[in-house]
Amino acid sequence: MSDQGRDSTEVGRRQFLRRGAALGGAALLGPGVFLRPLRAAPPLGTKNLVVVELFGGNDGLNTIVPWAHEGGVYKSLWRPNIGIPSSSVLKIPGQTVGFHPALAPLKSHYDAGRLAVIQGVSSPDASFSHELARRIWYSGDPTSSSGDGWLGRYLAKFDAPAFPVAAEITKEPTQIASGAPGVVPAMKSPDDFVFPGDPLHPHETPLRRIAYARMAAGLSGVPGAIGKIAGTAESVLDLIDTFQTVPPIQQVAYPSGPFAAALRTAVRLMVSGVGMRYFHVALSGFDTHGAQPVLHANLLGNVAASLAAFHADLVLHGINQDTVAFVFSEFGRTIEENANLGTDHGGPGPAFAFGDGVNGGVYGSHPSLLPGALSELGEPVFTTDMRDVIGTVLMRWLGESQSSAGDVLHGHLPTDLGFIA
Amino acid sequence: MTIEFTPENAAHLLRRTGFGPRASEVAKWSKLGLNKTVDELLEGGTSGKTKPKKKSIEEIKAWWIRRLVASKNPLADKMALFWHDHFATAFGKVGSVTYMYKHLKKLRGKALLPFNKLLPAILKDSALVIWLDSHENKKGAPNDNLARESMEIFTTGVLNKNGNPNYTEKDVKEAARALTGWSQERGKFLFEAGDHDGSSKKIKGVQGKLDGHDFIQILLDDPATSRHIVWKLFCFFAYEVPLSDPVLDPLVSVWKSEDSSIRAVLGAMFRMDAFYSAEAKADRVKSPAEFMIGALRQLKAKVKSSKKWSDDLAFAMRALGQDLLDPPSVFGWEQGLAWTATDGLLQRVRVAEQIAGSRPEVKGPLSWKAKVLFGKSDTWDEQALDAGAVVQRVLDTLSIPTPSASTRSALVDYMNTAPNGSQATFVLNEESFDTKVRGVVALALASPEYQLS
Repeated sequence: MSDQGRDSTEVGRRQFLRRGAALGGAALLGPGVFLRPLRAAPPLGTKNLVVVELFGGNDGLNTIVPWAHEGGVYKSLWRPNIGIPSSSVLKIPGQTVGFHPALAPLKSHYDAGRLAVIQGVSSPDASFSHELARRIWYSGDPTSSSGDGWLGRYLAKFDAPAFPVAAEITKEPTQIASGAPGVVPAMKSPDDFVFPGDPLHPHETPLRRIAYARMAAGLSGVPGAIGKIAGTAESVLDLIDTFQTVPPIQQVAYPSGPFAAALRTAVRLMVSGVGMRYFHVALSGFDTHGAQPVLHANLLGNVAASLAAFHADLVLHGINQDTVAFVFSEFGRTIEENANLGTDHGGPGPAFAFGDGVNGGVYGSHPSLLPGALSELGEPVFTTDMRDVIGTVLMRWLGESQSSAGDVLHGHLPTDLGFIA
Repeated sequence: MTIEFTPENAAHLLRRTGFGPRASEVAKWSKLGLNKTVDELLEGGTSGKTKPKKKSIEEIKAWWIRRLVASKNPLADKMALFWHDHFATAFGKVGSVTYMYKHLKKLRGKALLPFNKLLPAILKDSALVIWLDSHENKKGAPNDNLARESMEIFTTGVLNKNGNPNYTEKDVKEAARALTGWSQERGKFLFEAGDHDGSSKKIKGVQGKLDGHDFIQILLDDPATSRHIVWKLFCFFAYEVPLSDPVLDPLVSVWKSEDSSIRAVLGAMFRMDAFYSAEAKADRVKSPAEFMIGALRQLKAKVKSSKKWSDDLAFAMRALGQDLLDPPSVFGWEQGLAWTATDGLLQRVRVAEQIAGSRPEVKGPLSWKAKVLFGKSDTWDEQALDAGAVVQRVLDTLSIPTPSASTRSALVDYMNTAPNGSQATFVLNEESFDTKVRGVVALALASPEYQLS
């Protein structure tokens, strides 16, 4: 949200909402009244997980390019125009697939063993609807009938934390953490968490905060929406108190844009020691029905540069061994290009795991692209079940047993795919 | 069973069919009685003859906000907002301010028309055509975006009330072929015959050389459409129910007998016992539009119309999570408690402070005066309002019918406390208005109670 170009020096003018941060807030009444000591990290293990969602349906075939697969039919048969020419593909020794050139910032990470590519991921009877497909991925339930999220179900195996251990740094809250005990805030930045006050009467702010806390406390736990809103209000105050104790930290330079900013915020929160370990971030724009070449290249470039900065930041703060990013998209795109240099909603695509804890490499098998091998709807058949991908993260990174992971995955006992150490 | 049109029921109806009713409006309508009120609400069109300057999308957004604040009969505008969420079309992709303005004009002008008139008009709208790539859907190279979303979101929905799919992927592909050539030129619908696939198709069991109009008719004839739209309307105005809930059945019947008349369906809904039940009154969370516009209406805020402030108004709505004319996806906005998740609620507290603190003497997009609450300042001494009375006046002005005891006492104590924490009995004067009353208005706007409709 930019306010560049706004003249902030105009006398007497209050920038409506631009600089809404309160003056003073808790600090005016001195320490000890609202400030509480830093929360100890909850006993959930030391691993951090950032779930990265590429929203809109990432075109997997142009991301992990099967340039040599089955004699190169990928381009010759299906994508004469938008297919990535083999000369541009960043090749992977020993594989018939390679990277889209825009993923160059991640190539060295792949070479160093920090990037796992899992091919052909989808689920039985997968949906071509954004909404339903997301629900499938968030819940780990191919029928998309479940209302909770796999991350929420995992967190539900532990006691409610005193302070949130997970956060969504997305525009809207999603289903992925539904079912988690306690609050999983949807937030943009800890800097937002200051109690708003009137700049003309800053000494009123602590009193307003007290009143707000009393209104929240008075209705918290009451049945219905009002009780939930009051509960969220209390959690907002809790976040305000805690985030005020978090000093700013030095971070590496990140690319511009809200996606990189969300990754940056995730690192900041991890480093802050308030106990937050699990994050959901998302980048939108992958629904490339037309004009795909430039759009997709820009998106992939953004993802790669942002993840590269993210990793450098983890290294700077010494938490690179403890942090993995898991990257998915709700579906891939049609094998055949359309008449507008784009693709429509399609079938399986790659998922990724990124970080020092990853066993780098290419996993699973690439779906066949031969006309005779396609599904009834004319799309490649999936070769890796999405639940096994999530299950591997649960088992290997989050330390779940197979049966416990199966519980999270609605009864599906996951196969360990081995892409995390 | 007749519904008693008490002030409480009137206020409930007005909250749901508008954006923050004022006490005087509640009084006026409740005197009129339920039937006359419902009839008049349904009759009223959208307000204002002014046109926006169409230079930036922020100006269109701010213009719509101002229209909503100024409206005397906002049901049509509330329906326009409902349809905007339903046919969610975003400027971010459409890219043309003019097309988005035309789209908005269509939604506002046709908001209360029968669905069988509204649907074809919107499906031919240039902004929507671009948004769903219809202009790129051509013979031999179909793009199924418009076909898919027409079924999935705009009409039947994915599943019917028995949980069975309303259409198959094959239907989507065939419908896409029927819609080939459905395009636009310079803001007007254009059928490109040369791009149209005129061969035989089969959509949902109907075989023939089907074109876009035939496809629309198939959707309108499908009973799943009436159910799906009636369900969305009920959840929007009354309370959340599953698609199969029998409370919807009489409204679906009205749709059938009145040929998809939205006015008839709403008229029936606003006369149902269920609409005035405890369940209906309890749990609906205000959208950001209702929150912000309601506050501005109730405080009789003056909203400036110059371009300089349009950006601020648009920004506020975006921060609250409802960027008008730029919904996050074709699915529109997530309603209900999603509005008041952590960030959404924090932003409401912030906007509450900004609105409450908007003073005429400080430059900003809006302002409101003490007069709205207390009348002229030379009458304040004789009114002798203490903190409790001031709080009551604020709660009445903001149409908060049943504040909790804890909210009321928190607000009263706030007024009677000095910055150093000591007791300081509140006395109303210009200075305490500026310090304390604006503060209690901010708190009331931020209260859990105010977030509910």
